[in-house]
Amino acid sequence: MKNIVIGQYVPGNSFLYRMDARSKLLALVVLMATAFIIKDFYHMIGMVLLVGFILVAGGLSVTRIMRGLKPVLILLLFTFSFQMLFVNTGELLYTTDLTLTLYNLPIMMGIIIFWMISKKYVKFRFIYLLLAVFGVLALLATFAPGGVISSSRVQIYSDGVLGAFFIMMRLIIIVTLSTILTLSTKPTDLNLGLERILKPLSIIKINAEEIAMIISIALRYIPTLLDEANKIMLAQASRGVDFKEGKFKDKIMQIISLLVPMFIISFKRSDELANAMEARNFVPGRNRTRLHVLKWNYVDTFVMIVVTLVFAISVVIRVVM
Amino acid sequence: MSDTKKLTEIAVLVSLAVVLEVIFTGLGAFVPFLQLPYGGRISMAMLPLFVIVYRHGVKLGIYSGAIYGLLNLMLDAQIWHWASVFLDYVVAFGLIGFSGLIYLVMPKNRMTFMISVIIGMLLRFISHYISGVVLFAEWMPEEFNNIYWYSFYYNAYYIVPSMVLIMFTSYFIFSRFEQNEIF
Repeated sequence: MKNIVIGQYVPGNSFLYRMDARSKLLALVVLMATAFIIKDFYHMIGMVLLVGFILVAGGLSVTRIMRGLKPVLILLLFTFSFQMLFVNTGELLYTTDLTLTLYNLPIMMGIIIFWMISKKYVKFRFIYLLLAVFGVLALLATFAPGGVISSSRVQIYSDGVLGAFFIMMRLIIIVTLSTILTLSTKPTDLNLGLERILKPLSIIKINAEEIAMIISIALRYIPTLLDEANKIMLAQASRGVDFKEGKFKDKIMQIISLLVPMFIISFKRSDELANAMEARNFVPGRNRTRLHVLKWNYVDTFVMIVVTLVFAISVVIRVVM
Repeated sequence: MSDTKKLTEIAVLVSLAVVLEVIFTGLGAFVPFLQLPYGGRISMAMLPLFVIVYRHGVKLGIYSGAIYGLLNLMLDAQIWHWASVFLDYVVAFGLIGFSGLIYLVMPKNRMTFMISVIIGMLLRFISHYISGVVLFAEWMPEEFNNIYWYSFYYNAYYIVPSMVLIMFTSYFIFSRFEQNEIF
């Protein structure tokens, strides 16, 4: 639960750190849009290389980005297998029969039961699960003597593989880019940049300053509230509640028992925060002066030009090809 | 209530919503059927938003919904189409704010709160449904042949249980909130 990489600023001094928060935000949006218009294989590889280049040139650690990618890993696998199995256009690349027979049924059950018992003692559970699934599939595909219970054909087509590849790359690009942004920008700067970018919304009577304020407070309080949730869970666990095991219905009841204290803590926290802010003479909507002022440098102009060029070239390639 | 108090309260409740979403994501690792492959999850994360709507009315409800949508987008990062950013996140959650209109015609009590949950989730469903029909046609699995029904089933799969879950919870929680002077 604690491996969300949001608002985790890491100090450094590459060009990413010298950039203005506004230009970083805009570049992020443009690059994300670029990732969406790409439909060509080599083009996508080029885009991934570009993101990798930003990562390396920005001097950010790759392991941190990987940690940010971890929550979407399960999702990626889900979509990957979905695409592989259910798309059947394009060339047929690979086909195999999965056959369940009287002989390999008990072996399969054995593998599953072994996995269920032994998974508690394994450190990398996710990889272990993958291994178990792969083992079962390999068994069904290769070892199938005796009376057939059921049989199904798995066909993998080129379009499915391509589609899965594009989805994976797109997700990886988006998550990596946003992690780069949060790693290289201080939350206060990010907030200020967001506020400046949202400023045009004041034409339709939306207060950008208030929205930026709410976003920054909310981001600040996510880890705090997660900690509190953890504390309450531990407190309840010490009284005998088991959050990991139990049926689905039990889990729901446990979450309800978690909800009331969570709400009360939230209200208390927000009250304290409001008092602290009012004691420092904060009035919403009033003009404020800043300790840190955003500065637009040459590097920002340069990056914006490069990013716009990348976008324009991508549009041209998409239209031409 | 001062404006600062309102502002911080909305902010902290939105982050509570995000925290609930994270908890349900963690739960999804144990109970896989909670999640769907192209986004959408059975979760209780909307409850704080309905509390905001109950306490502060339609306008701030829309604000907080849209902001929650943005934060959810940052956490989820499931964008399949650029318009999905609006239809599936910002607008979908922003529409929840309109459920506060019910308090203009009905008294503020447990029953009305539950009706507001139904209205809010229905509005959210409509936004997801339109997004499904317009944007997600190319991801439709083979088994379905009609995009209208596909989008309907897909979105109903997580919206309806979430709605039931939130209503069920709020039924029990409401009196506790009244005791603690939250409502």
